[in-house]
Amino acid sequence: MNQEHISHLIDDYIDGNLNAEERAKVDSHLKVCSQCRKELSASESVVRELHRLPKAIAPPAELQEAITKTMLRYGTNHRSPRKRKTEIRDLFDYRLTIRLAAGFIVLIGAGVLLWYMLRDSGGAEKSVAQKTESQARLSSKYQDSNDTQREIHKTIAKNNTPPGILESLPSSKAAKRDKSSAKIAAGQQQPVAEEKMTIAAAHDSSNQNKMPKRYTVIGQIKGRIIDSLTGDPLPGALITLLGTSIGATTNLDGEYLLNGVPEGLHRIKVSTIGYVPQMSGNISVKPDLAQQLDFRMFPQTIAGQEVIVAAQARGQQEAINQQIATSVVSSEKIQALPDASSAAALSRLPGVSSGSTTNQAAVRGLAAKLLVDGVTLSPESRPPFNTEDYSKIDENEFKDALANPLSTFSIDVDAASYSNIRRFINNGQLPPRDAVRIEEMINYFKYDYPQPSGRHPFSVNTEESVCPWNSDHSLLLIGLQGKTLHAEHLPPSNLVFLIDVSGSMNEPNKLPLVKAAFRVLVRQLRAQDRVAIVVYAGRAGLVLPSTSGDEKEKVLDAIDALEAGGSTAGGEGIKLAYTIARENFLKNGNNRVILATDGDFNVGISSEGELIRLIEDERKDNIFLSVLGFGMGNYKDSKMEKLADKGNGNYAYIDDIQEARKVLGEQMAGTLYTIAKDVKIQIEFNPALVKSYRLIGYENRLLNKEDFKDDKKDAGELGAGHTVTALYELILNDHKSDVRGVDSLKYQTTVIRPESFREDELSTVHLRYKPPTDTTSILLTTPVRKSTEDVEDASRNLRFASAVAMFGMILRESKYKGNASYDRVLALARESRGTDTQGYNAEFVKLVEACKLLDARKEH
Amino acid sequence: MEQQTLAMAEIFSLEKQGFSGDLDIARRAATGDSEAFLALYQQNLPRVYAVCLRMVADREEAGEVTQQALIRAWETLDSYRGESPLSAWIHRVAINVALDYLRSRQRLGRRVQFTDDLDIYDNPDPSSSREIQLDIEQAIAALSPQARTVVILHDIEGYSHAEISGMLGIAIGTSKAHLHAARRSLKEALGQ
Repeated sequence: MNQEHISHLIDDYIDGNLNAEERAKVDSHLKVCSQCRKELSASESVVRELHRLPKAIAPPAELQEAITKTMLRYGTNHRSPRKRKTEIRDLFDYRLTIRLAAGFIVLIGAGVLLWYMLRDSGGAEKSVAQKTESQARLSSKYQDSNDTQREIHKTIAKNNTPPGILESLPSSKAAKRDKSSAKIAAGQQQPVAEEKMTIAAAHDSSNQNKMPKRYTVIGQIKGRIIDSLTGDPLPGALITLLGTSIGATTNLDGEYLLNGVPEGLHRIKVSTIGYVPQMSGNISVKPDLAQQLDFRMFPQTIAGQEVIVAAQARGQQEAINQQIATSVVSSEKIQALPDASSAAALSRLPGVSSGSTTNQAAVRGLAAKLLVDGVTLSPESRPPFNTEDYSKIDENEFKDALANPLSTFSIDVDAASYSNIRRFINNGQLPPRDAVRIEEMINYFKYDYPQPSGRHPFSVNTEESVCPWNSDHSLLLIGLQGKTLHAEHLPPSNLVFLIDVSGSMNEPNKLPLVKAAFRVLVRQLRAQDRVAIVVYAGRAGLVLPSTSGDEKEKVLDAIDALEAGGSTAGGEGIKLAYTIARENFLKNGNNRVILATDGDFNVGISSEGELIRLIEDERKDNIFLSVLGFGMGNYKDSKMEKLADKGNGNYAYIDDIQEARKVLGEQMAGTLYTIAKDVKIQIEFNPALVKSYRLIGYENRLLNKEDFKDDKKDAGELGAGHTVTALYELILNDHKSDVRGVDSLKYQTTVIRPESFREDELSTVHLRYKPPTDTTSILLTTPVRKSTEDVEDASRNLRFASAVAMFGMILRESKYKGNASYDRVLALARESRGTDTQGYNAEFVKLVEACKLLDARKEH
Repeated sequence: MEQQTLAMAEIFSLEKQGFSGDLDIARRAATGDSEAFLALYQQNLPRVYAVCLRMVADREEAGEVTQQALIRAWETLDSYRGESPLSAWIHRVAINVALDYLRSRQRLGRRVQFTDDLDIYDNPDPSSSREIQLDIEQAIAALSPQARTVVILHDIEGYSHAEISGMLGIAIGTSKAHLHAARRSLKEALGQ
């Protein structure tokens, strides 16, 4: 009788769902069956465990915070149906006013009609009367719907606009309608009536559609996702329509488009790694209307536990590499997979995601555009609108050493181009060709040249090797090392901060970054240093009179109080800044104006020529100018470089706070203390050995050969501890016998001196500089001997500089790039990183890797 | 006006039935008293989150569902009649939202992949979450959606099979079968 196991009754037995009879049956079976007893006790213990589980779990703090925010927003704005009723009643009076206004319009219409009747013959009367009547009807109808529209607008704006959302309604359309209604009031004639008819019709349909009719008509939501601090677009952010499978990822400009959104109220969620996910309020989606919904994302700091890396790092690295090796989706696999697009197939790889409506794939941690087999995955690749300005660069060409034995240029310690390029690549775009100034890329990095030992404030170093991108050619490096000054030896400073606070600076990566940058600088000032602050917008003003460096609080307060707004009177600001600098001039000190701007001068003196003349006048007084460039979009690179160049100064592009720390923190001495000015280099090539040469970069720093000796001719400044590196690509004569020796023109003959053939001198470097306050230059001469070592044997300096040059030539699509490729750049850069304590060289390697992925041009 | 008076009368009569305090809070919250609403929300958040987390078995989605649930509760607060404790009512709303979510997830699949969830990569089992430390929680998360839903509702939340059958639109027998399967799996998972 009790042989039958009671396994199927155990649950009900435990849960007390059995009646007395069943219960007795189970009990008696349990007495005899150890198997069922065992099962029962196991079940009981599981159920006990389940009962013991906490019924409440506190969400993680960040989630709780996010939810609280949403709820707060929601809670304060929500209106229950009951409340809504009273508000609608309040609205009644408002509507009445509108009705009266509509009635007034009808009256005007009637007036016009009367005028018509008096003017025209009776035959036209009837039709005009009809028209006017319909116009009036339409007009009042329009007012009604406009009224409702406004109410909806209000509701949406009130209810569903979390702080992160910038814009939420077709307000421009509403504005247009208001305009057309104004036209009606002005009493215009038939064409307007027709226009109104279409508007009224559109409103009718939108009124009908206000009823939540789900899944009937389809609309769109689009917008842009940006970083709240920097204003940078966030590519690859994931946007999902809650409760549906509709999603999209942002393109390179941070824009997204959700297509095929069912009509009705929706909420969307935006998530991207490193930022707090955001949820929108209810968005009402209507047909024929793309809702614009922009988000500012707040960076999220994830506080992690301390990570201790022990000796198994190597093993882990191998394990990681293996993982990557197995994460390959082969073409057969892609064919076998049921994915709709290649992007969807790729999204099977860890870290890769794809949107459902676009065939775009985004890789976590990498702001790069992805291509599959030449198929651009990004839906539209139109160039982003910007007004950035770059001077065209005509690349230096090879010059015949016999006809042109002299190559003359001014040094350039600026590094702005590199940080600007980095900004482009990090945003997933290749930089414009003319934004690539190779010498500025090379000079961004530190090289290990020896400190000067003699009386000159810098050392001159030369080296020659086989050219890494063309083994038939040679590469000549000329490196200057400025003397490093220790903080205690720095002369006192008289600084004037000249800060652009015009409307165009009112962006997260402009004025706030300017303030942060200056804070870095102010913290390093000493009691003997002085600082004044001049701002300019519509006009220029002195915000802080010259103040001692030990009154840091006062200076910092003045910086904190800056706000942006208005137009840009750059010229006036520069004048005032120089006046203040002159008033506080330190005879043996460092007198300098530091201009922080996006370069978008638009009021007063703003033509480049005039500004440059102004600055040229001012620099005679030994006041130097440093230009710090900020921002993107309307960044005027060309103008700012020229300003710094002409103002005896340097120019840096600050793209983020790290860069600010580099330029104004660790390299402050170099940025602010000039040790040599008007530094010019003239190389005389020996035509017996050198057939032709090409200066890499420095295109806008070239000087005429006669400028070298002309002390009135301005040139670049060298800061304390700065290094300057220049590279020449040389074509050497294969055999001395091949050399023509004589270059005959019609009226003169150039003859190579016989002793040149005996020498192994490739060239001689002539260098002229002036001490910071002097007006006469000093000449230095260094011969360069031929050595032509292999690249592998060359110094770290030459190898790294040539890697950077190669990268620059690839970006510029230089016709001289030879066999330069990303892989060669990477190979050379990786093994020539050096000590790289600040990690800049490692960052370069990462940048090249990112750029390699980004570059769709196949040949690299 | 008439309707309003009626509603008020209704409320007054209900107040006598008990849970009048809850009804009062609900009414205040529903009429836009954000303080009342926040108090309500804070009080109920951990319970709502717990049930959403267990049912959805994904930390990120659980946050989303929790939020949806609280908003749904808020929106429908007018319909709370004080017949049960408000917290139970909100909890019930949360379960419905979570069920809706599970259904839509099942029906539509997830075409958009949330690859940003790093936990998935830390842990070989994608359905488990770091949040749920206990073995049993992990075992629950690994159950089939139906079995998981039933065991959560029955053994953790304490609903009866009859109630579950109503919520899920399944027969009582089906609910029992799911529970049985769930407990069996859990027993195995816990080695008992």
